Amino acid sequence: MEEIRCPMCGKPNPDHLETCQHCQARLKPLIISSDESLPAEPDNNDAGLPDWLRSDQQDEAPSEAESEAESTPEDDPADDDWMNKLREEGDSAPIDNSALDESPVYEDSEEGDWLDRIKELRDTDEEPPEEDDSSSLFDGALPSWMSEGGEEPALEESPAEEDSSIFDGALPSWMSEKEEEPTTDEVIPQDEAPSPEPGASIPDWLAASEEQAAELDKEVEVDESELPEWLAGSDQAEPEPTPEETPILFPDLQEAAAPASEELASAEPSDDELPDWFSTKAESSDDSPPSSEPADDELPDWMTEPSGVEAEPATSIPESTPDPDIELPAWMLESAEDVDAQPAAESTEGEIPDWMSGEEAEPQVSTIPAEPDPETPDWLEKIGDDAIPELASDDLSPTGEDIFKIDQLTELLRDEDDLQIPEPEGAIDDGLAPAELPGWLEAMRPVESSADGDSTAEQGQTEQTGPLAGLSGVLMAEPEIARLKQAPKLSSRLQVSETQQEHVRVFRELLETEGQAEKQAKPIVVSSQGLLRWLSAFFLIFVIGLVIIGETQFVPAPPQASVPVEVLNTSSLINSLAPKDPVLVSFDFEPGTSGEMNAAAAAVVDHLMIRGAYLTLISTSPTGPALAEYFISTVQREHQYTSGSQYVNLGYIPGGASGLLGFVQMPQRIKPLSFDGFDPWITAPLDGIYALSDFKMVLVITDNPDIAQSWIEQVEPRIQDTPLITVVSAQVEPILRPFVGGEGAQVRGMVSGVIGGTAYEQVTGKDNLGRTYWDALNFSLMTAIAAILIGGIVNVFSILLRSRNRGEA
Amino acid sequence: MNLNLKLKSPVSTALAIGVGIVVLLGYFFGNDPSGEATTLGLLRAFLLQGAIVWAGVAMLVGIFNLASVHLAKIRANEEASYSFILLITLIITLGIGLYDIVETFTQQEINFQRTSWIFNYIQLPIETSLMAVLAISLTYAAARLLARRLNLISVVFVGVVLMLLIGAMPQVAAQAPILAEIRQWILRVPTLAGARGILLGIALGTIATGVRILTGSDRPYTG
Amino acid sequence: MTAANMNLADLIGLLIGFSFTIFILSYILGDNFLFRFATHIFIGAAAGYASVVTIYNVILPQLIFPLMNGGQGEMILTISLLIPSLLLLAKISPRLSKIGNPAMAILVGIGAAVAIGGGIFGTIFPQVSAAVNVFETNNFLEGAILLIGTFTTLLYFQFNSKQSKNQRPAIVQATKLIRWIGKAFIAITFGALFAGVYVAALTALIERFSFLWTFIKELVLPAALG
Repeated sequence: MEEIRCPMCGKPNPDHLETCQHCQARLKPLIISSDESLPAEPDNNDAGLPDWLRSDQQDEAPSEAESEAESTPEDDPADDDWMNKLREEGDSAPIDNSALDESPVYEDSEEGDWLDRIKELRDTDEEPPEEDDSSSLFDGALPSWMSEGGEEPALEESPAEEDSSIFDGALPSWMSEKEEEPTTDEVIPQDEAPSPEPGASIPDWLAASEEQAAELDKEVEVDESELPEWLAGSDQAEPEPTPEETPILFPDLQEAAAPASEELASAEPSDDELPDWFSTKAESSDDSPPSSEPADDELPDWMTEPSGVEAEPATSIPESTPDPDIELPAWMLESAEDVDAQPAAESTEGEIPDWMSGEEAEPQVSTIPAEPDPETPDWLEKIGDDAIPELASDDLSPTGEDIFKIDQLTELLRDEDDLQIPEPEGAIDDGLAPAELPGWLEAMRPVESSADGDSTAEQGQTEQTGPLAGLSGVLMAEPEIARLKQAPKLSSRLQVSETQQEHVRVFRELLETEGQAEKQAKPIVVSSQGLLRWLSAFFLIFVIGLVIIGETQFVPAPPQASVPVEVLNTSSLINSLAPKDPVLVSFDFEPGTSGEMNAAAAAVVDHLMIRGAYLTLISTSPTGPALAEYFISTVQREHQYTSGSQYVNLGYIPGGASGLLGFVQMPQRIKPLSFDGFDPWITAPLDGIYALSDFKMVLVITDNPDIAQSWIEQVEPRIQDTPLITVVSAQVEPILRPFVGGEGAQVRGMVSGVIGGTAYEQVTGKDNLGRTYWDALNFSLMTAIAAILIGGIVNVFSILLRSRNRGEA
Repeated sequence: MNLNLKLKSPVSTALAIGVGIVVLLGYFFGNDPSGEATTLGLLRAFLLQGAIVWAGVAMLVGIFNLASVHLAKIRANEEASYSFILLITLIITLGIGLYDIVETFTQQEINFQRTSWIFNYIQLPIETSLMAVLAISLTYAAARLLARRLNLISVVFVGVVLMLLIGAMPQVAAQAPILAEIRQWILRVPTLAGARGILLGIALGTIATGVRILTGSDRPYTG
Repeated sequence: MTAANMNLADLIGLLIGFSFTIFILSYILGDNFLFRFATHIFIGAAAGYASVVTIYNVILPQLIFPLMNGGQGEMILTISLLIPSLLLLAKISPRLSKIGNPAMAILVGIGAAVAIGGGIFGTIFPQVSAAVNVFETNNFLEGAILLIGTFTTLLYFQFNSKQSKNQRPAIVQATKLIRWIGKAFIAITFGALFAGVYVAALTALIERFSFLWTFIKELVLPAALG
């Protein structure tokens, strides 16, 4: 079981305890709970931050919100005075909550935004938009904005280039500005330098760095000699992070670097057993472009230029560069000396310390312009031209959207330069177990003279209790944790310039649109569809109305030659009937199609009546009997057919196919009475009917293919030689065609719709209802065809136009 | 065959299977060689007659169910006005029809004038008009067809529709007989082939469904 | 049809029919109260009319009159028909619904058997025979098209519902080809069906306008012109 030392009393405790069993002090930081309040707690610590940093923070807000624990100051035991200063500022400075509803990032400023950024850059998978954006920037010719300074980190794409630029020692001005932090007096004193405890394993952020470096297989040139002592020793000194400790800080990083971190955590590297990520980077540096090799005396600008600016938090240090020899903090100087003793690869003393270069690999900034520019910083000019093809050859061609947003991003990413800030102690701090003090530090407490004596005016309050008692500008132990848990009231107005607001807006829009499906362009034919509908209806009604009102009959009827054979067969079968022959006529259509069915059947039934057939009407639909009566009394009223003498209406048979089958076998039993209420089976000609096969013909008039099929399936096989003919709606004709044929077919004759009915009228030579509708049907068909054609063409063109517009977009 | 031995409605299932087998066997053994009905044939005839009667009763049950649904809608005040109209119309029609029936049998003379009036002047015009409105909708749908899905099958579909409509017009047939011939050929060959395949498919599906019912795999009568 | 030879009921009926036609056709302008009113009237009238016809034409002759006038054998037969009918009526009540299950089972069983018999003897045997003998009634090309179309359409459903993952690529390609051909034949058939439905609907529209014009010409115009 792991033990946790109490930050208050220093006594060991089991790691599962929340509070110290000796002094009841909280052992584990309240981080997770505070994360929940992050989105609602915009920090105002950036009130004094420069523009580039603030805009950077806003842009990173979503990703930082994802990496929850990165924003907790408890995990930064080396939080220095500037953090306290920031905290103080945060408490006092106003901030505009509304502008930062989605930006919990500002709470992170306590540990340095540059640190968060670097951490996040390890999680490149979580930031595809940035990755895309950055990748798009490297497409061939680099834009001019790249030559102006730093760029958005290229995430996974360009660690080598970044290191190259660093080891040139000619850091751009933006970088030198950010390196100002070591010059300040509030810089963590060497005593507070993190990870001095022996036996510590590599912190997660280092493991993650290694993992990422290994995955990316990028060439990073690292000189181990540049490693400061605190960093080199941290591998040994830092306590091995327990699973409970690290995931809170870097849940995402831990996942990404799990194998490496486990490996590294288990091993306790010595000085000559450098962690893999060091060796990896050192090896890879051999392949780096020659131009990226730094000269020993090429100090970066930030190290050569004096700083005239007051100390700011590491992430916000803007302008001046310190003289490294003078203003570098002791720990940094010491580290510079210590690195000599370590195996050196190519870099030498005076360069950026390894903690910086090592972390510089993480931002992975590619800032190499295609051609030297007058404004190109020194570090960039020193990059060999051979590095450019490497970038250009990367498969990083911009997408269409990237190009679309490139101008906006140019401005936006210019402010992302701070992502290149090397990450010093803050990153290492994350890997420390909270409040585990080395012995030497414990021996120092309480010390009255804190290192922040002459730092900036804003200093943290002096710690009164605990191992850090007497130190000012340090993280509060228990009270601080508790305070953070309670969601610090940081609400006030954020001082954001219009340019920054615009940047935020553009970037937010970009991020929001990333997750949204592209809205399809509004069909330009929406209005035309309504117009099409109205026009088609209007013309159809107009044409039909015109023809009906005009009562025209100038459209020629179907010529005899074009009469279908099934119509001719029907006529022939009817002609073969003798007077008084019983014919079973099924009226199996609905009132809705009565117009068509009456027109189709008029000539056929008229022919039957002319032949003197005795009609026996039946139906499998409840409305059938009424339709049959209507047909006989209205459509065929000229024949003056009377019920009982010339026809009989048997009415309705329920049950569908079952009813039909029963009716086929025993018609008298199924329909003992006619619709009129008399027994039709006792009078001629039905007195000799015992089965449907006794009828001379079966005529099915239907608009339903299922009913037609039921008649064919159930009745036709049992009526033997009695022909079954049909008058069907035009919608039934295609599905009934397989049954239709000549002799031996299941359906011996068929008349289909008004067209068939009119054709039958041509056969009989007697105009009927079909001819009445013929003109109107033909003109309406013409109109309908025109509407379908025009509508189809319009719609096809609209589709093509839409697809073309989409392609252009 | 997967027979579910844990029958929820054993009586109903047995009845369905039993009467189904009787009716099915009646196709083969319903009549003796002389044409006379066998016992099986008589039993089958009884069942078929019963099917007609019971189907009529089932229709009445369905109509009653329709009325109860709309009654519930009225109680729930859910489009109550339309449901009220429907119910009133149903009751009036039914009442007039029953009155006609009673009068027919009491006076020994067919008299369905009132019921026929409702059918001829209310039901028939409305239903025919509904079909007429369909023409407008279909015109629009046909014009929009290619806009919804533009592929080869859609083009074939629209092409067939246009060819059949154009070929049906006698003026066109007179001017370009080839179009009329194409129409006839489409109906006679490819349409027939497709329809035959569809019919066979439907028949096979129907048989499969029937077999499942007769084996008790499907029991749509439970519930 | 003139006003002179019509009684008042028919005149009112024509006016109502004219009005309902207009109500329904108003749907062309969009869904509206008149359309809904007319459709609900239609549903109520259709249900009522179906009930009347069923009672008058089925229930009374099959279940009531035999009990009143029939002989003993006929009464026994009718009672045996009446019992399942009463069970079916129990379906009206949700609580007694299960009582009607046996009667419903009988109805379903008969329907299934009839469907099987009809499908086998009325469709499959004749159509398979016709499909096999297409070359007797058609030339070779048409016969081949008929045969290929029939089987690809039929197989389309089979392949559409059952796709094995372990099929060889050649079989998969062949299956795709068959499915596509079947789909094309189905599209042609459905196109013909659509054309038929369209012609039927157009005819209904023509019939309705013919009715409207007749009504105006025979009744409205004479009345308006005096």
